[in-house]
Amino acid sequence: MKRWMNRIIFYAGLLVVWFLIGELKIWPDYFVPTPVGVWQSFMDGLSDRSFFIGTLASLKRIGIGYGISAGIGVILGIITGRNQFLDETLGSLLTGLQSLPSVCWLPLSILWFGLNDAAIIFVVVMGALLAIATVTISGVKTITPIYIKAGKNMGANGFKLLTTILIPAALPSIISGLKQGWSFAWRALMAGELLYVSIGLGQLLMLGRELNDMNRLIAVMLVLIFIGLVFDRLVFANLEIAVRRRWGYEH
Amino acid sequence: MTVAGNGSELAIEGIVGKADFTGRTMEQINENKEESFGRWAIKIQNISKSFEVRGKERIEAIKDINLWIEPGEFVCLVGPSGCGKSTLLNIIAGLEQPDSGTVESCPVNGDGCAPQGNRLLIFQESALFPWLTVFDNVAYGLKLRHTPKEKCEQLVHSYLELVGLSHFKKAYIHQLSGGMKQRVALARALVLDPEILLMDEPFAALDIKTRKDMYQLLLKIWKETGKTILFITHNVDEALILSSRVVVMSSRPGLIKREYRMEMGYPRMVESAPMQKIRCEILQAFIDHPASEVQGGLSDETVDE
Repeated sequence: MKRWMNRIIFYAGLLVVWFLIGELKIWPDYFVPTPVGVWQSFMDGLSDRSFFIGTLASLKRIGIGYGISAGIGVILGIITGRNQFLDETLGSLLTGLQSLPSVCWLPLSILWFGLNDAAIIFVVVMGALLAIATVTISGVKTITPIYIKAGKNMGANGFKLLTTILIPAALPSIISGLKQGWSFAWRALMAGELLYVSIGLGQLLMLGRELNDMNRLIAVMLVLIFIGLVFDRLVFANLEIAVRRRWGYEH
Repeated sequence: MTVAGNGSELAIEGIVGKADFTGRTMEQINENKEESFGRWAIKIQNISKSFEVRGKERIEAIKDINLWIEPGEFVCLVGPSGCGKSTLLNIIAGLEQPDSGTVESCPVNGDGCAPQGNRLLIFQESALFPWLTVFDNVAYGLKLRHTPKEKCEQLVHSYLELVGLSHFKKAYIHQLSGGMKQRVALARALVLDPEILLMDEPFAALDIKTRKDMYQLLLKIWKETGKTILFITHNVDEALILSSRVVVMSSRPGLIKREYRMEMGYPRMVESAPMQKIRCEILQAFIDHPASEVQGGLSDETVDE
């Protein structure tokens, strides 16, 4: 409770200071936004539905891109982690490629796919896939061998071994891989949307810049923070805690 | 479940029978193998296995192991640490391939030839799956075999009851103590009705009190189910308390040196004179062998009981 009280006081104080700076009118409002202006822009964005449309377009892109990365990344990670040859070859390639910031794939992507959604989705996939695959690989490689031994001993082989032992045993790492992958995908998406303008949250941000509308720009940023927090804190953090509890890592 | 021991091997609790004081050497064992082992559950013949160490040297882990185990027997394999006991167990379980030799089993259940799922291992550390509840851990093997749901539930219940854990079926593994984990591991193996139970130092990590409870439980289960058990330990007292036959292994290369038929009843006292005699002989057998090979396997044997 005390923690929450402290937080409320902190944010209320921040709001007051921000309000006062705005009231002093030292800088023009396209330079320093005001709380009231941001609030109005936020409500405008909601009422003219541009925030909804933008959010929906962005979520659709990340949904497709992240879905592809999660599917391919987890499968690729498990296969690579279980095969020494693939681990030494493909594994090193995946780690190497990961050092490339994902937005660097955009020029290549535009040449391949043209100026369209597919290009941005490709960047999102490249951003998330590598992270998910590499974390899954290390997760699979560190499965306690005795689980595999016990499973085989009781008659689990091939596909059964995969679904009843390998995936559940590596699940804590797979989930942290998926969580990491999400934040990579989210960044890749924004970078892509900022550079190449089509409907989406990135485009709303750029629109704010073009119109010198600082209040609207901040309002969009708040929406981005909100979406990021929802997924990171609510979806993945809870998933992670649930799994860790079950495994007995946390109580 | 009925008591399915084999005649004189399974002495009645409390009555002390006679022990085979002298023990038999490998030559003697091989001589009258055919006559003394009319029936067998597992026949291990000429098993050898060597490992490559750092790409050059080959070390013979076990050499020319011959061991016939009768149905319903409780065989303890005693040997110093590093004598290849676990390697032998893995080979019997079908998890490792021997360089030479064969492991045959009597086709009691129809498909007795496949080691996987028929010769079940119980490990020293808990190999229970932390992502499943106690119930689902025990049901794991049954589900692999597509056992109908009702039958599966009924079997899991009866075996959890046997090991005294029916109240913990919804618990997760990390919520159990070391002894409880090994009880679940026992139930998980027994529920599959294996032709032989292979136990790899299963109680080595438990405290003395829990270990004694587990001895009682294991003997009770053995008598009730009549399962064939091959139990590995480096603790001589443990072998003397539990088994109907003690097989002594030496190390580097691991080979069988002697065996003792234990015809006395249960519960046993290690302090009794005949037990002390065998105990001394076994410990002597360890020491006779190149002393350096006994890697601390003896140190905890004298203090434990």
